[in-house]
Amino acid sequence: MKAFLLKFLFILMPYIIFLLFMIYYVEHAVSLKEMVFDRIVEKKVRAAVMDDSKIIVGGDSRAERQIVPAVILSRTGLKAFNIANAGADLVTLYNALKRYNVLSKNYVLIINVGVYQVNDGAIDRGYITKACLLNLSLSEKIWVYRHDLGSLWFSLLEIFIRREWLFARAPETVMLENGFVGIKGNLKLPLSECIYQSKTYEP
Amino acid sequence: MDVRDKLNGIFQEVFKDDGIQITSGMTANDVEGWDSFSQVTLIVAVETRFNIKFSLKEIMSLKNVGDLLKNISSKITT
Amino acid sequence: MIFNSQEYFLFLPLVYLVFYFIGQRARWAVLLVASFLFYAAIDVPYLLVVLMLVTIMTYGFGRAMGRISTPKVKLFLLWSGVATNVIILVVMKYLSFSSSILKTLPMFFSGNTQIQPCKIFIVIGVSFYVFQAISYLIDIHLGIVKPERHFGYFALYMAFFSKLLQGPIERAGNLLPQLKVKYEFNYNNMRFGILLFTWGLVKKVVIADRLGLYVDTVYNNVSGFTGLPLPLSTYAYAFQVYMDFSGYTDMALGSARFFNINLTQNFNRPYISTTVADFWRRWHISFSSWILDYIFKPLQMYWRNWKNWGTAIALMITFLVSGVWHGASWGFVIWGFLHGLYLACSVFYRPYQRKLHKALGVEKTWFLKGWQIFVTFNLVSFAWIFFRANSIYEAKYVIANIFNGWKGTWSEFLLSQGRFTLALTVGAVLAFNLLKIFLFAKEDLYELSRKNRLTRYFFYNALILMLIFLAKNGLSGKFIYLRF
Repeated sequence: MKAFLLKFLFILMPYIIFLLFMIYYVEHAVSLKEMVFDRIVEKKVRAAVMDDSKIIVGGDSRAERQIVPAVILSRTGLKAFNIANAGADLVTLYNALKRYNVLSKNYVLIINVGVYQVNDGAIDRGYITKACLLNLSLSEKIWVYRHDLGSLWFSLLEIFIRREWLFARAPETVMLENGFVGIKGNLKLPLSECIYQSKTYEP
Repeated sequence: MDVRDKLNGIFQEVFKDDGIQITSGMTANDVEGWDSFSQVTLIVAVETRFNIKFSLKEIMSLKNVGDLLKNISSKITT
Repeated sequence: MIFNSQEYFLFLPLVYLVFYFIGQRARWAVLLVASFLFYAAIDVPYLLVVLMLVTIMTYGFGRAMGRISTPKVKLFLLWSGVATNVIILVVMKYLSFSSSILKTLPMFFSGNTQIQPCKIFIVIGVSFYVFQAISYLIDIHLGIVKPERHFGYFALYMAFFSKLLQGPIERAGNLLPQLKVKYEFNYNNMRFGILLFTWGLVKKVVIADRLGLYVDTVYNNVSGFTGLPLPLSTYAYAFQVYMDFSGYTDMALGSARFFNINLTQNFNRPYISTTVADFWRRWHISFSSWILDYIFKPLQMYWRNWKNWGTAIALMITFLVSGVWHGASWGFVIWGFLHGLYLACSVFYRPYQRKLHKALGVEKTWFLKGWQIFVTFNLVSFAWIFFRANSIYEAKYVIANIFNGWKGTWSEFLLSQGRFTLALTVGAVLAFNLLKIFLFAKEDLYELSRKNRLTRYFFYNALILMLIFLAKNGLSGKFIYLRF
């Protein structure tokens, strides 16, 4: 029996070491705390920065669908760009704006977002975004995922390989062509028709 | 012709093999399961030739050819 | 508790340790208590009651049959015992809609006064151990086994956690003696047990669950697709259900190996069957051999004087029972009916088929074998449509639209989970098949222990890596056969 246990542990050893290394890395790598981990938000922010809008609208799905740049334009005469995305949280948003130097410039920011965007499980099992996950301590991470440590593992793995970042790059033309929920151009339609016509972004 | 010889003849007919010699320990090698008709054909042939009737329980309890022989013998002597 | 959960990963080693260190005399008790805890962990209290009821009654009937010598009374006892078990099964499975009484029972057990939301009646495991109990009683009647006197061993035979939830359905002659053997640590069994368990886990969380993502995309929204996605997802389902169920079986057999118990094998490369009859010798073997021995053969023998018709009807009835056993919905009944039909028809055309093969000169050629495998796989997959579809209407839709073009093939079906997931799924299936082909193409997984250390360690690490990187996100996908 002892021989068996030793061999068993021997085989698992490299994986246990890898696990510990990954946990250590995720906890202490400063660069990770500044990553955006939401490629759609990154794409939108890049497009916004290349655009000449003065107003940036950010947040989650509520902001994405309900704060319409065409309406802002018709009421204020100022162009707005909507960078909101379903499920986005404050931490992701802040990291994205900081990364593209939005905060150091003169933009008007309209934000409508849940602070940690932790889905309370009303519709499905619930989720927590990677940016928020990184801001939890190790014990907090384990406590949140205590019923499904497997999912925690995969989230950490995706953070570790920076999965979102790998795909966040996209050609300029694509970014500008993917007209986001913000309708750019002159619209003099009443509010209800603006909402009916707004194009929702399908990831 | 005694019971054993008669039964042997039936086996040879059903399995189309003239070289078969039954032994008491022989069991139904039923690899075929769903495709298998040999057991049914065998029992029907035995019932017809010996003019006896088996009950379902008797058939299901047969473990080997030896049991079958015993069963047939007990039925024809009554 | 399900096998692919972190609770079970803690449960199994813990139970083993207690089992190992405790004396031989208490070992059955350890396993029995563990089995009850295992069953209780699914949080449906009345199921434990059902298990105890079936166990106690079957034990009682068995002992009574052993004591009585009058054949008529024995027969009566047999029929009563079987009937009681069947009634319990029927009540549990098929009267869920009129479950108002039983819905309130959980409240008494758990002290929870909130009304539970109206759910499908959970009957996990019942179908399996009730069938097992019936086989026990019939085997006593036929003289195959003697009634078990030791209630503890009998209860363990019924409740053993390894096979409790989804089988295999164990014959008393196989399992009971093994439970009584003195336990001695067996290195090979431990090693093979873990290997088998891990292999099953890979089948389930890497292959089956990933395929399931694509199958669900189509089958949970059939009207959104026509043409190619429909047969593709049906074939995917054929493999999903196979990987899911054989994965579970491997995990069950692997778990039992820890305790030096060999449960019956449930699968034997079902999709290389050349006929539907062959398929049923390779698929869910413990179940199909049960219906073969206890339903088909007796019926076929009972109607032996009706020649082919007797066999054909016996087949139809057997497979209708099989369909109904799987669930109280028309989908399962039709699935069973189809298989019965396939087999019944083959009874009549087999002799002609042989003549045709001879005439064409293709007997025993590779070509014929390949063709037969292809045809059988398609017949079986066609039947799976009814098994998986959420309703008869949807099954009809699938069939009507199989050849209807390609709507939705690319972006709605293959890319429905994104490029990354598609790549991972294809990679996983490829890796899995490569492992199988190179490491034990024709052999059993058991043969791995004969190979050299390098090969073995390569295999272990490949499995672990697949679990780490390719498992469908999160481990706890539900098993398909859990609801039967």
